[in-house]
Amino acid sequence: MHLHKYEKYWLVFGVGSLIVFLLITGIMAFHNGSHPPSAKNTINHEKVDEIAPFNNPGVHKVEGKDWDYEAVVVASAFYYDPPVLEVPVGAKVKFIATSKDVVHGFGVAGTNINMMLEPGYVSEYVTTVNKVGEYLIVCNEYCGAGHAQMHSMLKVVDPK
Amino acid sequence: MANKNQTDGDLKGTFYLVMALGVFIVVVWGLCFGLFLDRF
Amino acid sequence: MSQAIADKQNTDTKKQNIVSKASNKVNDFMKVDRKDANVAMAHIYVAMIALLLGGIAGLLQVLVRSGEFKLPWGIGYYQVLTVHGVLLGLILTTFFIYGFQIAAVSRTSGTLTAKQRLICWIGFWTMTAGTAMSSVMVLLNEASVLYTFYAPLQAHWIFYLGLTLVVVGSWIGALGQALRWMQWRKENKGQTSPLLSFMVVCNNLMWFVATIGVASEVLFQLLPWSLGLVDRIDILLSRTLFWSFGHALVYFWLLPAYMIWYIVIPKIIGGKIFSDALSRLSFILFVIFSIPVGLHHQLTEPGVDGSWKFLQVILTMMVVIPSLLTAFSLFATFELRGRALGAKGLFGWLRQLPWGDARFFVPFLGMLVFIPGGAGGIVNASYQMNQLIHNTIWVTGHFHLTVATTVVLTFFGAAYWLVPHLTGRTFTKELNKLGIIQSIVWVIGMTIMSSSMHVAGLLGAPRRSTFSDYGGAEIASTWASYQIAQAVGGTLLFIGILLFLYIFVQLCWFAPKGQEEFPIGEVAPNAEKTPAILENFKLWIVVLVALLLIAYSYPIFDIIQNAPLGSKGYKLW
Repeated sequence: MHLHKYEKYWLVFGVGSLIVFLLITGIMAFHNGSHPPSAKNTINHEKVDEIAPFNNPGVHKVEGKDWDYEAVVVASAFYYDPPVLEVPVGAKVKFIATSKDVVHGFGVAGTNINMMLEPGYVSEYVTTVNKVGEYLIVCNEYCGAGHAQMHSMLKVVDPK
Repeated sequence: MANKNQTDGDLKGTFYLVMALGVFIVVVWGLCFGLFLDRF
Repeated sequence: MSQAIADKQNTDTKKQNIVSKASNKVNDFMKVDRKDANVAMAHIYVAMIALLLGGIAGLLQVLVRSGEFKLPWGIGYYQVLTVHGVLLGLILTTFFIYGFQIAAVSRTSGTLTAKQRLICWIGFWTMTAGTAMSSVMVLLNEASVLYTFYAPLQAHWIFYLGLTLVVVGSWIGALGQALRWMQWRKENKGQTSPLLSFMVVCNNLMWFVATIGVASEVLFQLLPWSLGLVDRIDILLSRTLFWSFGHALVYFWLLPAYMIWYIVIPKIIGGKIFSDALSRLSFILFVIFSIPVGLHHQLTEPGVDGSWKFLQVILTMMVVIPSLLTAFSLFATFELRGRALGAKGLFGWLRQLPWGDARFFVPFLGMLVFIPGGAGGIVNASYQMNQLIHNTIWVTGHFHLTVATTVVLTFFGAAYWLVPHLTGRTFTKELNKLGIIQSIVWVIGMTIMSSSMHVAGLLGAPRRSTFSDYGGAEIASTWASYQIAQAVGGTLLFIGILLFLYIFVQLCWFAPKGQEEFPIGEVAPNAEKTPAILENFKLWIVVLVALLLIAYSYPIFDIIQNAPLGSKGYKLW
């Protein structure tokens, strides 16, 4: 099959760009650990309230782990528990969330924190909250009539 | 294409346009990547 | 460009058409047979009803989301959203595509036999019955689960059964089309089959394999569960099966647009198909790579390993390659034609294109819009960068470029010759002008709506959500200002739909009777022979199945192996 000379150049550039995109995202992922939320822990979604850590939703300081805080969130139609998460700026926070009923979203506006919450699965994402501010958390996966009323707030505060 | 050399010269405009398209894609991707890095 | 050149161009094209008509006298299938035209038009009528109703639903959505309007009579936003998604995403597209494809096979492989036509009619009625069943359930508010199903939200079983019939009907219709192509191959052994029919078969093959996933979800999970035969279903499995179909679906929409770009547009501008072999190659690449990529819709979901997601991200990037080929082929077709007409300079050939011909201009706008659409798509698929935009209204903005503009404008532009060809009328000068105005209204409306969706999405505004002030949060008021812009753009788009439907009605029943050409481009006379391997579907099916097994067997095994307690159904709307 004859390829025109310019078409070859174009394909080299185009395919080359795709390879560069893949290399950058791949290195970010497998070298720097920047994966999208892909935790594999499962849970009985009908007994979430009795199972740690979801029996105690909220922000907790932890010791001896790779992160400083755990922000534990339980989602159900149509609210998040707790309604506000407050963490100090600069802290490395692990967000741990699950759903008690249908599929929900956990999207923190203006950040990369964006996870699907599915009944039976625990979603996790670790990040360092390095900018002070109030970040609106919205359910961004359709969950029923009250879907657009389902929200909470992440407050990144300066403790000083 | 039998007369390769002749038609090869004829597609310069096409080449510049697709390259512009390619650069546009790379720039959009770069901007989004920058935003991703900037956010936590 | 000056009118004079445009006129000369049009005369040129017409002259050529006359010449090619004369030289093709032996060709029996210049005109689609009356009976084949009837079955094609039946599909297109249903598509147009879907366009009208789905368009009304879209208008209501942008108005509600502007915060300035409330739905009357207890109609729910998500009910309207389900109508919009099902009617435009599934019904308009599938029915229009089948109308076009049946006509295309009849035109290029020859009139269907009575048996093949009957199969197409059975497919049509099966799909139509399914559409009616699902629509009734949506209207009764028994199925506000959106077209993506969203288990464990549980719709009425008739909704699922209806959509199953749509899929099964599409298999039947696909068979009817493929049989005609196979007959051609049998009658013309050793020859390269007609390009357009080949592409139809590619698209149907891809569709058939892709729908196996969603059909299994419905048959083995959703139907037994909504009928009460089983209590619980595996949510992640249902989502994974859905998305194994969900991305191929968008290529099922796109490939007919590519057929029109590759084959019809060259003829309209008076040029030649750039390369038969490269066209076939890109379609084969679509067949292979459109399906094993569904996990890129699930990048932020728990329960699937990051590495497996990344593998499908790589495959997703592979499916960009045939689009790169297409971009070059199309520009090259235009440039070669412009230069043949004597264009000078680097871009002089652009001026030689028939800008005043809606059959060219409208799909051309669609091609242009595919550039930002494609760029956004690559961002979406870029693994962790998906977190920027997942489930934000950016995604809605994205596919309103790719599907609702690129594909839809190409279909509109095709309707301007296809419908009169099938109804025995003509696309008049006045209608041509209106068609051009329609496409400009569309692009302006879409630019306003889609760009505000993209920006609001980067600011975190969610998709598939009714108006909300989110407890008075500051960012939500910023989103609301973009939602006003979306309402303005969406209103323009609705006007665009009405304009198009006006033209459609004219072409069906009122335009002057006559002959309208079904333009089929020819390959340049000095082109090399197409390698036979490109027509060896057995080989490509093996490759496709192998890729599917590589991409999906471990993730699905893992999902089933580590499944948590399944979910009961909820009706939360």
